[in-house]
Amino acid sequence: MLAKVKTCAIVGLSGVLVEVEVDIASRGLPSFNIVGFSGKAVEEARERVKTALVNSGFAFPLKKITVNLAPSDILKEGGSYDLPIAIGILKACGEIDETENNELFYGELSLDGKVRHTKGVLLVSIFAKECGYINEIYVPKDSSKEGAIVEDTTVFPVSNIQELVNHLRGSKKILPQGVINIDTDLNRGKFEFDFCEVIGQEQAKRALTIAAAGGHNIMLSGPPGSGKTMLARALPSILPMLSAREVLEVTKVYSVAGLLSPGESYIKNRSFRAPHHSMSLVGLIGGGSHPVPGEVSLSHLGVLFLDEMAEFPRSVLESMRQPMEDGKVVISRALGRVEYPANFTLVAAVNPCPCGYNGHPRKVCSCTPTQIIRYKKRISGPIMDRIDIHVHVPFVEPSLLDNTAAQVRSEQILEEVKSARKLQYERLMHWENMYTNSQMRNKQVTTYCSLSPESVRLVRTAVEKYDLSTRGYFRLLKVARTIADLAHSSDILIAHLAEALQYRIKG
Amino acid sequence: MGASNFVPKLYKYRMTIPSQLLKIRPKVQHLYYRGEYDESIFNKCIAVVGSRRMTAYGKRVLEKIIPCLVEEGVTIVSGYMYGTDKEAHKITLDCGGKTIAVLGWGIDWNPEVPSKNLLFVSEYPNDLKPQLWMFPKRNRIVAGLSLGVIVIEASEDSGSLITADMAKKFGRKVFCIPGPITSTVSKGSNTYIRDGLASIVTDVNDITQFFNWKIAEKHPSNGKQLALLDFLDVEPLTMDEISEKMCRKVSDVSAELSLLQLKGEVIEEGGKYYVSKG
Repeated sequence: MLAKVKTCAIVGLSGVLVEVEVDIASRGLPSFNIVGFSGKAVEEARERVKTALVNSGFAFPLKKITVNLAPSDILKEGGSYDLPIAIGILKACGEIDETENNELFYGELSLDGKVRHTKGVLLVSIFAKECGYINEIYVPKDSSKEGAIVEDTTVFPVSNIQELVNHLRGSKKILPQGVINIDTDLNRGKFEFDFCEVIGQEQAKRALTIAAAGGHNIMLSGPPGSGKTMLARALPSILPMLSAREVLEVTKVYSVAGLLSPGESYIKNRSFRAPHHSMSLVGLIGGGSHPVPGEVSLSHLGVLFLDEMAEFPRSVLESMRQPMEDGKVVISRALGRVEYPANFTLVAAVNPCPCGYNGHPRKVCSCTPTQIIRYKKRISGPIMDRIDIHVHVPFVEPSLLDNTAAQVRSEQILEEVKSARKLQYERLMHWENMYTNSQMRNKQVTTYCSLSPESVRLVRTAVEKYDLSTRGYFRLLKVARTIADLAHSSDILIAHLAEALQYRIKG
Repeated sequence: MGASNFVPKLYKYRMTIPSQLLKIRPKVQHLYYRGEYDESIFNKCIAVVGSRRMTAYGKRVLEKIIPCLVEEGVTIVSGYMYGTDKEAHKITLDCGGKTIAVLGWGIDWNPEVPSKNLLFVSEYPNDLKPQLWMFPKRNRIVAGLSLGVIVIEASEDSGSLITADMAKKFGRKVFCIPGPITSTVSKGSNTYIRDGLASIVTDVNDITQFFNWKIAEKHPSNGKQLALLDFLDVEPLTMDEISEKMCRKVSDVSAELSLLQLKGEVIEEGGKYYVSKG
């Protein structure tokens, strides 16, 4: 007898319908085969499904069983096909009646018949909503909450096969998971560092405030121990909460990457990713034979912190050019092409030279000029050119550290950032996927960053004096726009431009 | 041009001939104008002339020089011809400077509308069509109005050289911008430099110094900036140290320092700010 069950494959950040066809032949030697372009994990589903069914108290049919996963041109990977295959077998051998087939099954089985937390449930739920012919999805109980943030899809949390069979037979119904509303006003929780913990470094704090307000990439350079890492780690505490739309975007990536913990429904805070410099290119950009999102996508709408940026292999850094420009990564592999969002704020920390003490007030730098030049060249011009704000984090005299003067708290800065972002949001709302000044293209810059003749004169002098490139010119205007927004000024004034000039690339 | 003593002249009238034109020959009999203007526009004029076939190099030169001259309060005079002339007018207006376009045709012939900073001037009334002979005559007014003439990219038979010759005749200073020796549009101007007929300009300071203009005098540093310089005179400081000593916000200090850096009074190295000596 033949049974058909629907499930879903995840390609990039979208779902594709996969039909699981199970045939139990009345003749032939007992066997169990899966066909239809399946990967290793799917091949192994045979053993998991068989054992799980037997351990759940079902008789596994000793007949020739053929499972086909259609369409056969999409590679099927992972354990999420276990549940639909198991249901297909039960249907084919008559344990469950044939249904209208407008439900979708998704989940990995454990040998004892339990359904395990599976990645990608949010995308299944979105797919079910968008395709229109699926009304109910059956997903692992541990993952059901992430599926429930999508309205209009009925999500059934399944904890084991027995429970699901009872539900489908109608003997004992499973209660659907109620819709979970994205609450953006949730308590933000604790942050690793607060800005008031960093003593001094007012210029760096100001620069980070501007970076947070406009989503600008920022580079902090200074000797070891000056507080670069601490400042960068304090940045999340002044970033506004994700909006409901942004939550969905970020959670999608985390769902696909399998980084949502069991029972978690969505990502609340902006992500802060700090990969080590031994990271590979694929780790940063994403990829692999079965593509997964990399660090640039995991820091989508959040912060990507590259500590000791000059220590990263050049090829790894250069690969960030496209995502930094387009806000997304396109990964092309033999098996197809996927696209992940990668709209992040880059925070880079570097030392001024290999030993780190160049320009230090007391320690002597032991590097030769050639070494310093070579060290500075490790980060290429095009990458430097994509960083809007460059700021020096000087050494702080230990005697100043017991400075008792009240430091500004993150909460206060957050309010400034929020109101500046609100202005940008209102200004840029007509443009798709554009939330902050840093995302403006030249066209928007010319429209929204008009200058008075006096300012034009200043900019021209600056372009002349500092030999700014065209990109450098637009970058200057964008930073000036954010500074003006922080000051609630609708026009960019001389003072805003002049301040922005302090954050240009130096030397 | 203060707002209080700004007396708009009536539109499109025959005007009194500015004093610097009185001595030039052939004599300027009448002068018509279009636009609102203040007499001060004629006070400190520099002519910028060059090829109609302006190259990218020529444009870069204009962008480099004109903003600095405007900063000096100079009125840029040119011939409103396409190429170098029009670009010179445009850049001047962009950075808020005043400019006079001396037309080689009747005052009404071109349809463009003057603005507060752009004054059209012509010897010819109504909508008289441009004739070849008018342009050299127009050039004597361009030269006559100005204290000096800057020639950017002039080919050997260029009208800009006529302007330069007139300027020499009237005792005005002629500056030439050197161009690539491979470029035909720079041949004339380069020859003038070679023959010692004009002063070479390699930096805008060559012009300002000749007239003894000093930017710093024109734009005195404000009190805040002077206080900043006082602090930096004692010892080089980082931004944080300055802001702490002066009890001012980093954002304000940053802006002030940028302005001082642009004027060349302060330099920054390795995060510290120094007073520039010299």
